[in-house]
Amino acid sequence: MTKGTTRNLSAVIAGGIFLLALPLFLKSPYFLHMLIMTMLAIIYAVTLRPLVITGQLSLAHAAFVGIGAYASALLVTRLGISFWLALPMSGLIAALIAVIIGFPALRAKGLFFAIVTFGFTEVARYTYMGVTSLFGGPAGFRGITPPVLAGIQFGGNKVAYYYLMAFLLTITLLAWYSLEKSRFMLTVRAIGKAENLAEAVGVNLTKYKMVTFVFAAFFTGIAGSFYAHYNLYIAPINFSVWQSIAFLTLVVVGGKERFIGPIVGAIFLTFIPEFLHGTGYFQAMLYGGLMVLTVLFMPNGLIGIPGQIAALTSRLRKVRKAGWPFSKPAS
Amino acid sequence: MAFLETSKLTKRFAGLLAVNHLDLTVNDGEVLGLIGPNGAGKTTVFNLIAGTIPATGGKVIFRGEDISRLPPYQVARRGIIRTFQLNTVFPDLSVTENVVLGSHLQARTGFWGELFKMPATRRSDREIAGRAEQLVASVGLLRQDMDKRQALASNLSYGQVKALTLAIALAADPKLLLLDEPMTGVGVRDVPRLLNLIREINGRGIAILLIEHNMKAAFEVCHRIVVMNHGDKIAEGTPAEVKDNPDVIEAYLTKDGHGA
Ligand SMILES: Nc1ncnc2c1ncn2[C@@H]1O[C@H](COP(=O)(O)OP(=O)(O)OP(=O)(O)O)[C@@H](O)[C@H]1O
Ligand SMILES: [Mg+2]
Repeated sequence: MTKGTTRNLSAVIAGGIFLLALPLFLKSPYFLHMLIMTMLAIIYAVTLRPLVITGQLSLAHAAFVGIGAYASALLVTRLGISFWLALPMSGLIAALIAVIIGFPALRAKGLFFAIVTFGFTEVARYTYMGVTSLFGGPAGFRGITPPVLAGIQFGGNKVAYYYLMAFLLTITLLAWYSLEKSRFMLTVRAIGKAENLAEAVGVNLTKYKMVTFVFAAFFTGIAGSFYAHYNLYIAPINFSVWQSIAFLTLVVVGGKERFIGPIVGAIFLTFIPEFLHGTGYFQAMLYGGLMVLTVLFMPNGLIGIPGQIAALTSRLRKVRKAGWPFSKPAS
Repeated sequence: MAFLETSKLTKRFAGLLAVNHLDLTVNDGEVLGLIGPNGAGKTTVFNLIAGTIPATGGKVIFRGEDISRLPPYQVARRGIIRTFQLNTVFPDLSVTENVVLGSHLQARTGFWGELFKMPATRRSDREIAGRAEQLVASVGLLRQDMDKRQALASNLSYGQVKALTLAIALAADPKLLLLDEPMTGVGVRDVPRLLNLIREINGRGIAILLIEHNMKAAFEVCHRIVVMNHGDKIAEGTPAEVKDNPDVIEAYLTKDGHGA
């Protein structure tokens, strides 16, 4: 085992213990709620990152959250299926729908892919609004029941939800981190850097894009199922294109180059605005502003800042060594 | 039997006939040169063979199979690997990673094997890593005095990038290698080295279709040469035959191109 992996592993274990112990001394339901929302955001962002890397700016991510949420709500309240079964089933349903729309959508590149996924998200949203008998219409889906596990009632029990979310997040991160270090992700990164060369050495681009798309939909659908049975109420507005854009913001602002990037982005953009008692306006301004700043000044997002500072200081040092006045900018 | 054969291969861009009813044959084990002034249509021929762009008409037959309508990755799977005129590597990835990516087709496990880190995946990855190291060495990026394995492709010198593009292509285990101007931009002293490398690759039984503006180099390494101008084949033969062909001299003289 290399030094790097040992360090990563100890960081993961330390982080895990910290998260597990947190509810023992932090019992504020509001704080736990914030943590749960942040963990959800991390799932959305981490699963979206590979798509952003290959240049597929998916606006369907929120749609898959919605599909998981509505599927789960229906399975449990209408068919009487246990939440614990509905949870993975929601992931599978989202993945299946991703396969179906992936075939036409992934033929399109860049902006066209964004437009196709935009359309898909809107169609899904109008379906929830239109088919009132099944989805509850614009007023939303009410009466979703909280999970029960071995006599533990999740209703009104934020600690139980917290641990369930922590478990789902752990599984998600383990799966995607395992891929991160594989040839699969190396190929995904290669597609993002030189698609024509990847194709010329035999990479089936569509297959790779499809797998990342469907795998992301699976985990996102599961997160959606959790969300439905946590919030106990879902509405079409929760799964709009704007929500998808917010997810993209998490990835871009955090930085797509490294695994940790979208995690940093999710923490920074979910936890902090909530912490500042952010209103909708404040949040929208923060997201928009940060997106602009990132695109203009931080090509590698928040995680790129240390590198940028290092590059800047080394340049300043060179400037000083060369004997130029400090105030005169280097050319 | 012809190894690769194009018949009446044609590409029209809007009003421009970039490749016009081209019949081209690459024999097994041969180095065939494809030369011609700028804009003659050489790169377009590569794009048509490799499936990068669809042909307007005609066919490409490789080892008896019609590959005209195959997408690029399928053409690669059949053993035709091309390089690009603009040095194309995977920037921001290391030299080793670049070559490992070239070995994409040699990997024997898929998504699930990698997700669950199956033993077969680890074995396959180790084999590929070992082969990648050999290839990096064979193109001169790993020598006693220099180890570029961990260097980022974007930090290499021009000549080193050229070498890397070759290593990537070789990693893909080609039966037919399409090289688009491998000598361009290479220092005078490095040209013989590159020629030797091409001969060595060919010596392993890999057929090569070579686009080249450096006439001296092309005449030296090619068994046969096809000359194009304005999308047409204007001459074909051994280097000696082509060199003295009046049409060829004419084509090069009327252009202010390179070479000649
Ligand atoms: N995608 C394209 N769209 C339109 N025209 C194109 C395209 N690709 C090539 N052409 C045109 O087709 C002609 C042949 O181009 P090609 O790149 O095949 O020439 P070449 O022989 O490789 O030239 P060079 O030696 O300069 O590389 C040129 O006139 C070029 O402008
Ligand atoms: Mg060319």
